[in-house]
Amino acid sequence: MSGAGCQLVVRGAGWVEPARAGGARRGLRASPPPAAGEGAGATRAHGGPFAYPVRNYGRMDGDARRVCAACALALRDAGFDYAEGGTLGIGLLGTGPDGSLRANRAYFEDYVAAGRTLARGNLFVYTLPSSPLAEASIHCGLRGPLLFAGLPAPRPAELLRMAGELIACDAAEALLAVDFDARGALAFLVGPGAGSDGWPLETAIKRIGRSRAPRAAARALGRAAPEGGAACT
Amino acid sequence: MKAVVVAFDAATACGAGLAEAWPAIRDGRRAFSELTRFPAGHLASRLAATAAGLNPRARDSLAMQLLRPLLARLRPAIPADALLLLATTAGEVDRLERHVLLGQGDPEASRPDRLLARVKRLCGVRAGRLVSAACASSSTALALGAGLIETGRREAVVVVACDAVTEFVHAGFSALMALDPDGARPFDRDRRGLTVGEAAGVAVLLREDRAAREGRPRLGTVAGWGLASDANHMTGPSRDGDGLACAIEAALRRASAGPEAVGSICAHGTGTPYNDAMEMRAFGRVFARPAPVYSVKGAIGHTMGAAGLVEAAVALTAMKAGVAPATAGLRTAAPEAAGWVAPEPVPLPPGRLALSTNSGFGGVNAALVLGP
Repeated sequence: MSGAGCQLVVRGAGWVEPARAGGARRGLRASPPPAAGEGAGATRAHGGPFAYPVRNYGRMDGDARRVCAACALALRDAGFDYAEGGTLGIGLLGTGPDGSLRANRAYFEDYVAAGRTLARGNLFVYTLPSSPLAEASIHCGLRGPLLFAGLPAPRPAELLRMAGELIACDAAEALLAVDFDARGALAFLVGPGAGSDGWPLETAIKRIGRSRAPRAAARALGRAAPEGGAACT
Repeated sequence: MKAVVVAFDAATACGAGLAEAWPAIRDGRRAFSELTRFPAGHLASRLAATAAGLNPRARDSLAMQLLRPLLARLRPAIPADALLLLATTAGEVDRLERHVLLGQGDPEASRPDRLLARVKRLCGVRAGRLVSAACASSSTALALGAGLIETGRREAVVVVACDAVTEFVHAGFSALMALDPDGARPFDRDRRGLTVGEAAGVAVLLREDRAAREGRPRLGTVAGWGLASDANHMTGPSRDGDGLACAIEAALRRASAGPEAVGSICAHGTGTPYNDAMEMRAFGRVFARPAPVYSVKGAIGHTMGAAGLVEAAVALTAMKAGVAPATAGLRTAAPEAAGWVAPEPVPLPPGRLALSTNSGFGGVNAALVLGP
């Protein structure tokens, strides 16, 4: 399947805020990812976002947890199941306001506080803007391209435009496009499809408009019924 | 419509431009030296590949010190309507270091969007995006730039890449036990890790018909590209090389070329045991017969987010010169690399394509097929 030349739709969306999480489609709600612990209690069976316990969850930084959860919810919202050990030909495109600045500070301040003798590898790992996306890729088994892009405001709309460009370039069959910051994350699954599969990309961009909060953007999308359109065969 | 490379250059530890650096890179001369920029005695290696003339106490960040002269030279080749794709992993993180260590400046100044704004001004362009995909950042940016041109979304793209040797990065790789205390020896039987390097690079891509119309020099083409993830581990590559092999196969498909059309491979070749073994597994899967493989990281170090662009520029230079650079530091090839790598320059057959590959943390993989 190739997205080049096909109608692109947003097939689903997942959002995470400090006290709640959910999807764009009515009825999909989940508890937010826990701030610490092993994540075993954050699986669907416990009302959480994940299909199965997230490996090394306790080691992840906050951005990685939120991105992982938003991606898991977007896949579920779109009706895509993922499973431990499985793979999907989906890529990951992320954006955020400040790259990995919070993780950079946490890592380097810790190193300096320890006398500049020994850094912590588990903090260093998150000093790449793409690291939260990589954790989501590992958890959900996403084998497509993975990159962080610094984009101008309004980020969610720009993110969807760039996701559309990447699929049109045939860089990936489909993409999870994720906007994340210190408070939340918002993920969209973008790919080729008929209007009945989701929201046409331009419609989604218009609907989201300048929404900034993840839940508000997902709700703006969810209020519109998926539209008719030509299927990509 | 193809993306044509009409200008490129790179500043590395081997020289402020590729013309100056090429003989050292070709002959595999190592540009490693003892670090003086920050105390490194307690870290796993005191060696790094630093560019001459950078001042860590200067007003400009190290990345900007690398970029300014390069962009001053190349600015006339950058169209005003070009989309800037800025590739980096850590950008101006030395600004954060100064804040934490000396209480100077604002840590927000190290944000990548600030660097993007500065580089946009230096390039004289209006539109720009940051692209960060770990150590495949600039090969990913080149791939995206080529894709935007191929699909008619852009006529001109300028890819700018930079990353500097900082205590921030060096201490991190040290903590991960990824540094070779004696300097990187990519594809060597006794390799023990990487050596951190710094670089900046610039490449201007134009749509083929526009390049011809404007009489621009045709220095090469991005004939194909592929991007894929391992979905396996945060710091280690997938042992089977499947993600990289997928990226290479996608790049060859896009170039409408078979493996036999590839005359040389500029590998990521960091010198870490796992990376180099993974790469050879991927090459072995795609190529029925060994093609000349080389890594420049034994000469200029691992230049992180800049590696993909610098290495693509080296691959284009090598293709024009008809010779694959030596793999610096190589003494005895690892069994899986024997017959593919060489400690001396290797003549290349004419009329063949070059493959350039990069991989990075989080399991990212990028492959570029470069043509004349």
